Amino acid sequence: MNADQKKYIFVLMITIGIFIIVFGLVNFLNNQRLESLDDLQRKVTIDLIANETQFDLLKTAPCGSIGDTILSRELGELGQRLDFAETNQGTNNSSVIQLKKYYSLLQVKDYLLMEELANKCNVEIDSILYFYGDNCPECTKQGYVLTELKDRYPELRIYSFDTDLDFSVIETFTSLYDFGQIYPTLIIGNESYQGLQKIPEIEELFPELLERKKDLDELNEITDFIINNVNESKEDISITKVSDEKYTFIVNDEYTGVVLVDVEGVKTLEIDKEKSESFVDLQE
Amino acid sequence: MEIFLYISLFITLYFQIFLLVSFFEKNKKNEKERAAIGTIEYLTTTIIVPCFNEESTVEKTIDSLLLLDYPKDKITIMVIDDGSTDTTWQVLQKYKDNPQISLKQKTNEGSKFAALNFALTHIETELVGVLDADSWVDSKSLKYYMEFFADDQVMATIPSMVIGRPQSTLQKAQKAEYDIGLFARKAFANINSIYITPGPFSVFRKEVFDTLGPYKEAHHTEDAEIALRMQRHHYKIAYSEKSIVYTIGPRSLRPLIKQRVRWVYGFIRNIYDYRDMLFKKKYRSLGLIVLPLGIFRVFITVVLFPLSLWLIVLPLINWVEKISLVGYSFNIGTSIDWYFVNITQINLFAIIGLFLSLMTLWIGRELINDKRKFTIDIVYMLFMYTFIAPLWLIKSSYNALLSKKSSWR
Repeated sequence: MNADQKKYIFVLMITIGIFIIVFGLVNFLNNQRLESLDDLQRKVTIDLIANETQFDLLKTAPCGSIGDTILSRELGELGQRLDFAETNQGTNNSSVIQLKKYYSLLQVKDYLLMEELANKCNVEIDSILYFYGDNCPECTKQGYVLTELKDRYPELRIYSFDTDLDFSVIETFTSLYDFGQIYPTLIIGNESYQGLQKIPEIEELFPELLERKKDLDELNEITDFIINNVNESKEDISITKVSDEKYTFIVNDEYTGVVLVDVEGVKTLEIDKEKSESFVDLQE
Repeated sequence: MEIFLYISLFITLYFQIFLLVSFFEKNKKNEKERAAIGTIEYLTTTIIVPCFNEESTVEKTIDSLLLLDYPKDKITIMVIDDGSTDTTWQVLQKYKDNPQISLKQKTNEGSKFAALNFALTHIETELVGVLDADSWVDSKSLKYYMEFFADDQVMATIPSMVIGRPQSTLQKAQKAEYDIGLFARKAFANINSIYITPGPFSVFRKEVFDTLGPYKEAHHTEDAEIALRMQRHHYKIAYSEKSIVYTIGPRSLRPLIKQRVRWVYGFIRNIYDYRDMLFKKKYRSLGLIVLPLGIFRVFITVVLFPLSLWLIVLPLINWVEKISLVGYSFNIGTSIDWYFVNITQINLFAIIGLFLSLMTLWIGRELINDKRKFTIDIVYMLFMYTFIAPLWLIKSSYNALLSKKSSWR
C-alpha cells in the first residue's frame, strides 16, 4: 500500500469516526429524552392511581381535591414533551408510539375520574376533548390554539387523542361521540365542534373562565399599583377585594392600606397609619 | 431523501478532512531545498498586463509592477490594450518612454486568451507572468517566486490572492472567501493538485508555452485550462504563499454572479474536456479526489440548496401561521429546559461545518500574516454562501449541461 492510499484510508477513518460520533450522540440524547418522558409518565401514573384509590377507599368523592390542578398540569407537560419527541424523532419511532398510547390511556383515566368527581361533588369541570388525525393541516393549527389556551387558563383540562394511533381505547372513546371522521373535532360539554375553532370561539364556551381570568388580571393590576407605591416585593402583599371600587391589602403583616378605584378607573392608595402602628404595638 | 443528504454530507466532510490532512502534510523535502538556496537567481521575466476598458485601474497595476523589488534589467512589463473603447490607451501613453514597459495595441477578439497569445509571440524571457489590470502586486512577490523557480521541476508558481480594499458588503464577503481559499490552495500545492493558475500574477516558465502550445479559448477560463494541461503533462505548479497579489472583487451582485457563473461554467467544461484525467491513478490525488469531488461539490450544492432552504423556510411558515392564530407572546423562560433543545444530526453537522470554515479561515489568514483573524466579513461570507452562491452554481450547472456560452465580461 503506498502513501497515497494510506492517506485516503486514514481520512476515511476520521470521516467515519465523526459520523459515528454525531449519530451516536444524537441517538444517546434521544434515548435520554425518552427516558425522562418515561419517568414523568410513571410519576403521573402514580398520582392518578393514588387519586383513584383514595376515591375508592372513601366510597365518596374527595371533593376538596377537585381544585387540585397539579395532575392536570403534569399531564399537560407530559403531552407537550411527547409532542416534541414526536416531531423530533419521527412519528414512526416505536418507543414514541408506545409512550403516546400510554399517554392516551392516562388521559382517558384522568377524564373519567374527573367526570365522576364532578358528578359526585356537583361541580362543573372545564374540559375539552380534542380528536385529531394525521395529514390534517387544520389540526396543527388547532394544536397551536389549544396550547395557547392551556397557557392562558391552566385550570382548563384539555385531553387530546390521535385517532390514527391504532389504539382500541381511543377507538372506543371516539365511538361514544358520533362525529364521523372529520378532524379536528372538539368535544366541549357533550357538544361537538368540527373544523378549526379559534381562541375567541372557544373562550366564549367557558364564560366562568373568562370571568375568573378578568378578576385575576384586575388583581394583578392592583398589585402592580401597590408595588409601585410602597416599594415592597410582590410576595409580601396580600390583597382582598371588598367591592369593584375597593381593595384592602396587608403588607408583610406590618401595615394595611386601601386602594380605591373610581368610575373612570383612576386608583388612589391610602396607608392605614393607625393600624400599622397597632401592628407594631402588637409585635412589641 | 435523507440517506442521499447524509451521503453528500459524508463526501463533503471527507473532502474537507482530506484537505486538512494534506495541508499539514509537511513538504519537508521542498522546504529544505528552498532553505539551502543561498543566493537567489533572478530569472528574466515579462509580465503581461492585458486590459480592456480599464482606464481607472490600469495605472495602479502598472505602478505596482514598477515598484517590484526585482532587478530592473530583468523585468519587462508588456501592456496589451485589447481594443479598449474608453481612454485606456491615452492613459497608457504616460508610460511610453519607460524602457521597462512595452505598450501594444490590438483589435478585440472577444476573449482574453487571444490577447495573451498575441503577447506571447513577442516574448523571449525565461519567465512569463500575467497580471490582470484590476489587480496589483506586493513589491516582494516576484522575488519570493524565485525560491520556487530554483527547483527545475517547478514550471509555474501562483500567488496568494487577496481581495484588496474591500468596500461593499459583498467585497468583504469575498475577502473572507479568498482567505479561506488560501488554505485550500496550500493543501492542493502540497499534493501537486493545483488545477488553476489564476489571472492575477501566475508566472510560468516560457517553455511551458513552447512545449504545450499557447493559451486556448477554453470556455473563457484559459487560466484553468492551462493548469489542467500542465497537470496532464505532470508539470509542477507551486504556490508561493508569501507572494501577495491584491485583486478587486465585483462590487455588486450582478457582476459577481456573472463572474462566478463564468468560473464555475469554465471549471465544469474544462474538466469535461480533460475527463480522461478523472479517476486515473497516474494523476494521483488530483485525478482520484480533487477533480471528481470538485465537480461533485458543484452539483451537490445545486441539490442541497433547495433542500436547506426548505428546512429554513418550513419552520418559518409554521411560526408565522402560529403567530397569526394565537398572537405573539413574550414568555421566553429565563432558564433553558434542555429537553426542548433540538439537537439533530443536521444541526451537529452544521456546527462542524462552521467550525471547519473558521479554522480554515484562520489558517488562510495566518499564511499571509493577516493579524485580524475573526472579523465581521465571516458573517457576510456565510450569508453569501447560503443565499447567493447557489444561484451561480445552479446557473452555471444549467449552462454547462446545455453547453450555453457565458460571456467573459
